[in-house]
Amino acid sequence: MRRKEKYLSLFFLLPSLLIYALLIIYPLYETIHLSFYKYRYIEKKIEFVGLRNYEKLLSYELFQKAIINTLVFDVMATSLQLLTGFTLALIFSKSFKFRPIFLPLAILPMVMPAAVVCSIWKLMFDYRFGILNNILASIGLPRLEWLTNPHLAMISMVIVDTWQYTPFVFLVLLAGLQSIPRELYEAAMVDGASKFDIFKSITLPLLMPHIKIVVLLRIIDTFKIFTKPALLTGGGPGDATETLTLFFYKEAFRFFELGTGATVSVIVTVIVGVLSILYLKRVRL
Amino acid sequence: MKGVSKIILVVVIVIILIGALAVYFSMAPTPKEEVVTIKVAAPAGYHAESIKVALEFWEKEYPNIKVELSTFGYHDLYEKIVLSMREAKAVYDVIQIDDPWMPEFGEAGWLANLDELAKQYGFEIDYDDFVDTALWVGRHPYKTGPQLALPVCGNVELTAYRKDLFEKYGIPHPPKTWSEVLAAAKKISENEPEVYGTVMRGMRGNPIVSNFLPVLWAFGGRIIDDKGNAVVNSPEAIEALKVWLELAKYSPPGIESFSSDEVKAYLYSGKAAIATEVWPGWVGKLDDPTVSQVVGKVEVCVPPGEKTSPAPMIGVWLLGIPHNSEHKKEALQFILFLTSKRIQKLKSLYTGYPPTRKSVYEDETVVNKYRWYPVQLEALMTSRPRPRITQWAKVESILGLYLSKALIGEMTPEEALNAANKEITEALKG
Amino acid sequence: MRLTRIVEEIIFYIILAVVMTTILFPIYWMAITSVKIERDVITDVPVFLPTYITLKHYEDVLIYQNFTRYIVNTFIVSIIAIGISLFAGSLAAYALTRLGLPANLDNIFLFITLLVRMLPTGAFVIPLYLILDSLGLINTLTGLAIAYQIYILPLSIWLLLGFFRSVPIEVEEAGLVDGASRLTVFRMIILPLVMPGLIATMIVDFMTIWNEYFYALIFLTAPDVMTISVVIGGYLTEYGTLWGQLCAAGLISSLPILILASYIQKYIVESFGYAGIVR
Repeated sequence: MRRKEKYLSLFFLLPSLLIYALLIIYPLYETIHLSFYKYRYIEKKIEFVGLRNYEKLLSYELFQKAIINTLVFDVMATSLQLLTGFTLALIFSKSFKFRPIFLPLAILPMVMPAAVVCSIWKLMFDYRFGILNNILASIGLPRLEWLTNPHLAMISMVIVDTWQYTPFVFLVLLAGLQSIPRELYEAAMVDGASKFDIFKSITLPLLMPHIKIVVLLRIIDTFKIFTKPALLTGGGPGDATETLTLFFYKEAFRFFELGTGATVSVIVTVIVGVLSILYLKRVRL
Repeated sequence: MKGVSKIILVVVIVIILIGALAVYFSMAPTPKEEVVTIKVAAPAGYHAESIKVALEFWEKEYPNIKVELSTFGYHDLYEKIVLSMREAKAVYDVIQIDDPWMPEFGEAGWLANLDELAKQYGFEIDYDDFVDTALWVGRHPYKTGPQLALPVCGNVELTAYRKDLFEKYGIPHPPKTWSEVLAAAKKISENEPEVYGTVMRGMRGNPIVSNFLPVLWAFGGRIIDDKGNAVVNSPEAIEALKVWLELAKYSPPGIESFSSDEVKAYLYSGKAAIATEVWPGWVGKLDDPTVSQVVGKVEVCVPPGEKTSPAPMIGVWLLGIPHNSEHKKEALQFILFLTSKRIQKLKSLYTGYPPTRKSVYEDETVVNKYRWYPVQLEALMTSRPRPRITQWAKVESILGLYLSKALIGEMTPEEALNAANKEITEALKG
Repeated sequence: MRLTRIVEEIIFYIILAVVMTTILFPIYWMAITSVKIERDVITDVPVFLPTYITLKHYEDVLIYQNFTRYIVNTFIVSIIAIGISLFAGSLAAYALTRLGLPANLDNIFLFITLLVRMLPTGAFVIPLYLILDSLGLINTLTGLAIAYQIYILPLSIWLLLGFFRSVPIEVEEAGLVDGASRLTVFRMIILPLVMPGLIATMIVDFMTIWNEYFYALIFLTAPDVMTISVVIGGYLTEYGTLWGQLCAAGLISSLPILILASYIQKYIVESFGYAGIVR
């Protein structure tokens, strides 16, 4: 019986494994392999350089800045999104009159194409013509240099990313909240527990698996941030919003230096891997 | 009796059917004309619009050659055509190319030699009517090699300024040097509280570099000298950057992230007096009251010089045929059609698309509609291209980064240009 | 007692109003931009309620540019891709949470899944292009749907893992004891209980694919199979953004998922009560 089960379980995993094999093995090998070469795609020039790509990149100031920027962005964005997503999930888990209308509206940001989102936000962030500064000015506050102050630019990106991806966290946590059996709440209330106690002892622990997963996913995803710096600031001002994937994209698809591009990818994957492992160890999934 | 009639009926029907089939099969098949489909890749926006206008005429005159048009954003187009020409199977037969890409593609041998093709198929290319500078960028090596692509969009950088404000303050116009521009910007911004002296593109990357180059060149600076060395930190260049930063002081706040949208906004709403760098595609609607608030007040001129005569930056788009296309003849026909005098005039009249032929620029009907065309022609004829190197994308990216740092004051002009020069030298080695 | 109840209600609605306004304000801005004439888009004094409204942008996008075609294409790709990923994903999640696997294979599998999620999808583009080309799948929606598994299969597996885990084993054991096969148990007992999870995963997968841009750009070449994100990218030209069309296209492209979400939201939101089972 057990043997049969073990084979059955492999059978269950087969579709996923097949897909992985097809899509991952060769590209992964190619990428790692290329990272040791200088490869100019257009000129078809290939030259073995060993670890030189890695040396050059890791000592290149812009690349170092990109690493720092991406980490900072990741931490800020993920934390903020956890907060906003959780709040939304709590709000929408309560049944209120307009919920069927508001729920689809609440996920609208994530459904919009990134190009539209970035363009509209860029317009809203404009110093003079942007609606945000106009509102600030009308209530007597100073206009902000949303995209042109090096520090504020990063925060603006976090704002846009949070606006766009909160629905992701929201949906997962909402479904998670819904899978907590009602009877638990009822039993606790019968026992006279306060709302706060219920939240602390029932909701939070049972929601934890979902929270852990969604945070992990966001850590990994925000690390790849690319469209926002590309469209909002071009990586600027200066190098304030240069991120790793933006750097990669320029190397690989503007300069068509596939060797360096591969090296960046490997480094990014390693960093993300380390982050994830650290996170998982702390959080014990 | 009934049974027999049934049989007769069936037999009659069968005979009729067989007869019909016989007639059908015996009809000599109408010689099906070979319909060739060529795939064209072009940038989205007004390039695509102009091709669509041309297609309306093409479809009537060349019904056997169908055109499948794919349009993409700027960087996407670049990626698609590179992939298409690098891998064995051709995806496109006609591609629209931005002039900085020509050195790469030419060096890689990816474009069909149009001279040879024309000779092979018996077509004539009337080079005389095309603007020389536009033709030169389509040749590899630059200016002297065979023609690998024909210019279709006569893009050249210009300067726009508020003629009415210049006249109000007694400033001679058009401004001939950047010093004059600086003085004008100062005067106007001091006296007109609502108007900024200049508006420039400062976003890191291509926008800031494109905005800076004309000033650089006007001061005698260059990015690469004749021997191929990077000289972007020469004394002339540093002086140019200092002047450019001065000009930027009169621009609205937020210029560090300005691209074409913002410059257009300030110019069209009358909130800026001088747009130091404009392109034909931006100024088309200056006299259109549904869009512009400065109808009739803006004049377009050749960008100013300073130590040297003006050197407006050329940025034409060209049409080429990938080396692995299987329909080169039809592709060439389409290219010749799109760049023909008649079609260029039509495109210009319908969409304002800048021509690449002198005759179209001088055509009365066209000039009546677009009063700055003579200026555009002059700019085009005296224009200068960006360095003809295969690593231009990387060089532009490096320069863009350091210019941006200089703009926000993170580095002094000397520091910025020295750092840029060091990296560009490194990049040129590869 | 009554009073605190009312105060709570009021606070709740205030928070709801603030939250919804923050979320919807940019959307509102998009909506009015999609009907503004060019002159009103970038103005000194913001135009909240335009005096002139034009439907020209919608006309351009829907009729002249044949946008509905692209929406259909994107829809087809999504359906195929999600179908594959939910199928493979739920099987995998079930096996991982219920069935023992030989020699720690489950941890290895999870690790690989996590690894895939972390992979630089951008770097894989050219090798994937070559793979798909050799299979004749370039420029096909199916090919793109298969390529998308890199994005959504790990996502689906991870999400479903959580949802499968929260279904108590007792329910299943009851079914098995009654003599049902594993597959039947999966179909009749587990599936209904993880429905909210499946739906949530489906929506998230949808949203991931709907606006995916890079793979769609590279793996599709002909205009008749293009998806919306590439087309929308074309509205950002070097001569200025085509605001009206951009916003019109953006809103139109969000409609399908909006409608989908409205219909299936009740599956996420209503609790499937566990009648009598307490963990």
